[in-house]
Amino acid sequence: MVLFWVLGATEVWAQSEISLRIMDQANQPLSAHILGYAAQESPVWVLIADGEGRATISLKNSIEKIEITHVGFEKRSVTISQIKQLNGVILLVPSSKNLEEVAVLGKKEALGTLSSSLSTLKVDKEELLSQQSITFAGALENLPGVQAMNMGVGISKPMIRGLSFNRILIEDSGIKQEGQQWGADHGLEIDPHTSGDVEIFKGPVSLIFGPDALGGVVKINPIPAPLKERISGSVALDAQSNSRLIGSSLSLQARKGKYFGLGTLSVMSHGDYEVPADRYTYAGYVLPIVDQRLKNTAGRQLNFTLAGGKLLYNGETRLTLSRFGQEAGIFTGAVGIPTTYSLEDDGDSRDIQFPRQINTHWKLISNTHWERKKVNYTLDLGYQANRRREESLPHVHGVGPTPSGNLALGLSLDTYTANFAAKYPLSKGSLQAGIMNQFMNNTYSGFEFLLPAYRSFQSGIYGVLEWALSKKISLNIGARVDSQHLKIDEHLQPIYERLEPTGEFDQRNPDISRSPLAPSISTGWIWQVDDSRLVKFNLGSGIRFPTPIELASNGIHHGNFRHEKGNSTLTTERSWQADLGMSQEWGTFSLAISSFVSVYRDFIYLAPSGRFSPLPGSSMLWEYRQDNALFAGGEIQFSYLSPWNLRTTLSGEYVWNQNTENQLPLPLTPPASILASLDYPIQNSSSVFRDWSLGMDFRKTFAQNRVARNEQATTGYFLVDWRMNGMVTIAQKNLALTISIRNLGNVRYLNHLSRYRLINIPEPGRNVSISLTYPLN
Amino acid sequence: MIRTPNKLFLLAFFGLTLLSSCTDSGEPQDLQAPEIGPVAGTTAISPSAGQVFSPNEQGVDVAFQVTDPQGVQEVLLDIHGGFDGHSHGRLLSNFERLNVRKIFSASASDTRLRIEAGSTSVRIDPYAVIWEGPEAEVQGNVLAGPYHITISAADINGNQTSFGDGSNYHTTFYIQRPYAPMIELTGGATSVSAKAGDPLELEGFIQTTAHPLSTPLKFVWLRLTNQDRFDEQEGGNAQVQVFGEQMMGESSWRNLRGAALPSSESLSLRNLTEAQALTVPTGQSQLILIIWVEDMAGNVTRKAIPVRAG
Repeated sequence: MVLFWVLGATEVWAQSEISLRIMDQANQPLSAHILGYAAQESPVWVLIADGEGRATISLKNSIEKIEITHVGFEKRSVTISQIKQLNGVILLVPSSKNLEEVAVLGKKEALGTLSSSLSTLKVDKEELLSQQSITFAGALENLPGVQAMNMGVGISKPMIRGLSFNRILIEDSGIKQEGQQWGADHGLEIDPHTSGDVEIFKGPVSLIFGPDALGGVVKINPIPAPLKERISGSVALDAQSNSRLIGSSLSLQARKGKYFGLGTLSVMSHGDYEVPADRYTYAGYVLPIVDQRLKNTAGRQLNFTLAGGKLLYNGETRLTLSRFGQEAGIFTGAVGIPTTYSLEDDGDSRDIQFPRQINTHWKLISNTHWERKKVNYTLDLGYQANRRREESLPHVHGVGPTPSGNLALGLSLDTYTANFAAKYPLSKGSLQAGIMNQFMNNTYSGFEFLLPAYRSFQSGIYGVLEWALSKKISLNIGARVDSQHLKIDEHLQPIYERLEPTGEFDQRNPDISRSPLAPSISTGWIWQVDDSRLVKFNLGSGIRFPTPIELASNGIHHGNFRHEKGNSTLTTERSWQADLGMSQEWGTFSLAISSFVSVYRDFIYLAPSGRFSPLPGSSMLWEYRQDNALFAGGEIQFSYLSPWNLRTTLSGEYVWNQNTENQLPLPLTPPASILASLDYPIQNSSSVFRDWSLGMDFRKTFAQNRVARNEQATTGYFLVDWRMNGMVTIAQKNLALTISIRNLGNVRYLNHLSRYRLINIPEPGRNVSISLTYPLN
Repeated sequence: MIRTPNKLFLLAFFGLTLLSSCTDSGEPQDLQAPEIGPVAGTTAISPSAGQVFSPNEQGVDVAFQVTDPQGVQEVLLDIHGGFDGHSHGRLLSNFERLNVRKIFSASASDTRLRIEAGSTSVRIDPYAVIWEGPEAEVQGNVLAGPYHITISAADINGNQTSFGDGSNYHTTFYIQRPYAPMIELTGGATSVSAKAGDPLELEGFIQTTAHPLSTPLKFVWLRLTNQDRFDEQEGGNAQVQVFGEQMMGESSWRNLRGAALPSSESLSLRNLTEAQALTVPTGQSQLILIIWVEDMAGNVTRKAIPVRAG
């Protein structure tokens, strides 16, 4: 990888063609349509810039000028000589007919950019951090169609249209994030402070991203290279009242000539979090929540990212090292049958006792993209080391002192990834082809067993054709084939009798070897009707190979309070999804609607077996099965900018699903919800305060009564959030200040997607957050 | 001619919505978990909440009934120590906690655990759990004290009783043993009288026994409350109040301690309540004095004594 990085630093030269970068005024890339004109009135060719706003145009055919169009922006014509003067960077300005109208649609526009025929969302880093969430997934949960599955305040993972776990692919800087994402109590090991902008694809995108992307993709872009030659950065301080969180992050970036460096460091510590309740009911007991704090829910994080790179003539290469480190306690009452005694205050709300989890995720990623002879190449190489430790007291689990000490479950996953793609420009579009390879090696330790050791090699090859039928309509169609070679090792678990090992062993799983092969196809249609209307249609098929946890697990998964058993006969899961969306603007009104229907063949899920587990400390045995399933739903978003600049956004989301074989809903289906947001920029500013805005969110979440077998229904709730942000000028320095209050009414409610819902624990109460960012220039 | 996108889209959107609205068709699904209750003709599951098994009893006859209209698949009986709120911090060499995990099913190899496949009513009456003698569930001497019993059941569709909705049967019972500390009121009284506003006066004693396995006293805990929650679960329940409390010695099971015990062999209840008064509150017609005593081996004897406040 290092060798390649050195080689990749060589400049790539191309002739008789020009590279373009299309950006908005905030330097955000735009996937715009580019039309090439010679002397004729009609365009000679039409191109679409990629997701990073890049495109290469040929100077052949006597091209004299180009025209760039993008919804919500002014059309711009540029001659070839002007392009050279601009060094290929072309900025688009928002539509002049009403600049504020564009702001209404904003980056949360329900359909997203023209680079994908799926409904997409784009969130920039500033907006991500303004959510003031401890977790990355929590910062996304206000987006239409996106939810967060959480366990307390520090552990969370994203859900898209009711799908999560291994059906959502997280791509960080071109590399698929691999951890132990199969667990409900396992969070997404990404810190919003160290990530760049985020794109969300709501639907199967297996063609480009690979298997597991059949429910959607969260694509985290790297922090862009600095545009100017200088050293800059910022220091941010965060504080939250509910869990008494204190955190700080340092961000630095520097550029000298073609070389640049980036670095972020983030530390955070929080105590046990508060809920608006002093008791809860479980197992027929009324149990205390002393001082309204959930015992042993404190957490700590230390995360950093270091990157260095070089800007090439027609590209960029960089090497990034990152580390996510987290230690999080698990609510004492969530393990076993809680009692008043075990829930008594231990006198320290910031300590992290047993049970707890310690997660460390290292990543070394090399990203290089360049252009040669009109072809755009991308090479991403990655290594990830994921270490997970679940610590608990052995005798709680029916075993005596063990060589592993208090390590109940240690999971060590190493992942190596190599992705290569090339995009060839065509007369009216482009052809993209690529190959993706991934090798994973998982080992385990500890006195408990859940997931066996395994090695997996996965490879995929794909091709996608994008074709502009006209200035307004473009099509895409593609195909992909993936293969996997998986070897799972047999596991023999020592048998204990009266806390002593008997010398006998129980075979939890045999050796398993599999080599599945599966194709995927997708097609989409984007119709940019005019500057104010956009229609998208996508029909895609995604696949997912059964994971080792689904094939061979056999043990107590404390994250779900149950004994889970894999099924080695599971076959490849396949989805077919149709998406249809439209956005429209009328003056200062805008409306975006997106709907979907998904059919799953051999949908893999955990089902109660009807038999009790023989393992101590467990209840029913749950087994992995697969049935056909149907998902449907959508999102709707309405925005209005009033004459006095009050921006109103009303969005709603709904997911319906059903196992079509037993006619029951699937577990963990997000309830329908409506979110109304008001944002008001304060016009008056002074030399000290400027650019202030006030906002409020009103969220109505409806009851979820469509539940799976043995899943409890959850009542609805109504929450109000308040926020204020702006700049404060002190000593000629502009400090960015954000203040927000979540759950203003301190409402007691249960979250259907929370792991603590299983034990009737309410969600956090009122939370006042303050963030202050100080620039270092 | 291409239709306008508005009409096209709305048509398709409502088509999808209609498709997704075709919900919950087909036959009603069975999502109801089995019900666990007392055997027909009785009023309570055995053992009942807070039931005390005296030193000369060698086991408990577990008796209950499970019903489900679709048929019962399996029943799980779990008994384990409730000494320390499940932290299970200590393991004592001479005594063993009672740990029972039995699964009643149609395919059970033990005929005592076999039930009829898919029966709509399963009657377990009785299933004997023995802690002394050749058929005992423990190899050594059972540790005296509180035990939790949990009964769960599943039907043929996989619907299961749970803690979340309280449909499992879960309670605490107490095993007394001849080697565990003894708590006695003078004259064998089973309750005491007291005057509201005055200190509680007790006549009786706490002492070790003459049994060869008896060990010295280690911890004494007295509480005057208005409800016996059987598992020291007073906290968090607004209806439960503790009006007075005293501790002496140090608990082996819980993070509780008080002044040194005046004796590790015998303690007078009169002296204990005189040294640190437990005042009888006014306006409380129903009071309970709970005495929890531990010996050095970890055996626990617990007694709940009704207090008649005048």
